[in-house]
Amino acid sequence: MSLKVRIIPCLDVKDGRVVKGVQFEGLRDAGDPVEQAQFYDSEGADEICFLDISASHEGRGTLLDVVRRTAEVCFTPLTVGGGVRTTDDFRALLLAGADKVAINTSAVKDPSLVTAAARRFGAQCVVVAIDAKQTGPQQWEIFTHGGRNPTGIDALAFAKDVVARGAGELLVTSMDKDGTKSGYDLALTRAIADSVSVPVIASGGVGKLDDLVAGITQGHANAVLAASIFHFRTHTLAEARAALAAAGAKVRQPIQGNLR
Amino acid sequence: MLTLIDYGSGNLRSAEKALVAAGARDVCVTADPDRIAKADQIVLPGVGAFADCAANLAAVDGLREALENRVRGEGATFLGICVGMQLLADVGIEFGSTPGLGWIHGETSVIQPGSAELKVPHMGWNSAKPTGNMVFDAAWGGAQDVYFVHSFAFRAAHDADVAAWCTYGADRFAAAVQKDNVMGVQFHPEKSQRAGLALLEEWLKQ
Repeated sequence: MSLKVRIIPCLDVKDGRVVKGVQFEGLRDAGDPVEQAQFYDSEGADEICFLDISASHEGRGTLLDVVRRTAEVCFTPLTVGGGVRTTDDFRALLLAGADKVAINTSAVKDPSLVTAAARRFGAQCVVVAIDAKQTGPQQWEIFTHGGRNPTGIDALAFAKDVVARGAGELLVTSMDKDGTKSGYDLALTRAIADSVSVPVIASGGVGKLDDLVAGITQGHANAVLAASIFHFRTHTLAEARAALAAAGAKVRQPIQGNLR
Repeated sequence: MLTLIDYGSGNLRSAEKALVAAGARDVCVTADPDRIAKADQIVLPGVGAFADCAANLAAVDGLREALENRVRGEGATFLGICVGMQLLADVGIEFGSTPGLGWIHGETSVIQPGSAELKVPHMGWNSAKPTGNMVFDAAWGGAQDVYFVHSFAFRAAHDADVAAWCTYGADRFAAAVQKDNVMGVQFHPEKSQRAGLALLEEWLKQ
């Protein structure tokens, strides 16, 4: 028995609604992030991730409500990111029911936020989201603001720096691969996973089950995140678990029926 | 009355909702020593660093004394979760050493899985294997995967106080401890889906 790899469905939330037009059968309101989180919870997701892409202050306010309502019905670890700027933002999300908070742009602008949050809430809840684009062989640059703004910062150096500052986990997204369905940037994922002591989540580009498997076996990630492959029911979480298990990865089997 | 201790160090909302889902009625979220003096069941959550949680506990006037009286003196049923479990130890060794409650002998120290591939924090679902503890046996009837997220672990002085074990690489540590009316779980039952709720349900029945 050992630690299992985690399969994490990710929901993009804008103004309290899920974007990317998810179409599950049987949902009362397919745009409600709480219902979708509940669905993934029932399928045995190992964690659930909400990324808020609201532009407005009001939109962000609704996110707290979404997190609160999710925590009432889902007993699954929840990571929430998007627009977090201060330790008070961390606190508000954690109090609402988030277990981990992901920061991206703010960690680049002000890396001391990583340290401050880790001190106040513990490293275990500080996830730094690294959005990177390849700029050369074995070389990647950090982008912020949802991948729009280049920073000139080397992704590998940044990853090591934020871990030294107290990040408890890294969410590594390839901006080259995101949305392409051609698989993770495995070289990027592996380069970071092999050079930090904390867990790494692979993200960006999953189109098929083999991509999830490769994230673990070739990318050396500890967890695999995906969105549309699950949202559009291309594959279920059970199929993802089976594919990973067949490749030799240790996965969790959610409880079916009675415990005893 | 079930009391969930609000001392600024816990994921209170998640713990409260899970306890209610597991069958608790009247969850009182408080740090008021007078309320604690009347509690039948007490849950101490905790996330973050040992020293910070210990300091927060000490910062509430009369809280420590109320807990000592009610749990140790009068036998109220107690459950510590994550750092709330680690605080049961004599001492926490995390960037220096900090005294704990000392209700279950032992200390906390950093997890050492013994391989660079095995990351710390120990984060995710791992197997908790009960040692014959009644609450665990009634809830699970065997080992279950539950959700852990921690960098330090409880090293019990006496194996007899360990209610469940967890193994991570070369390290083996207490997934749960119990001594008399005092129980602690390193994992997060409030985040462990059905296995977690089943455990809370059995604990509440005590």
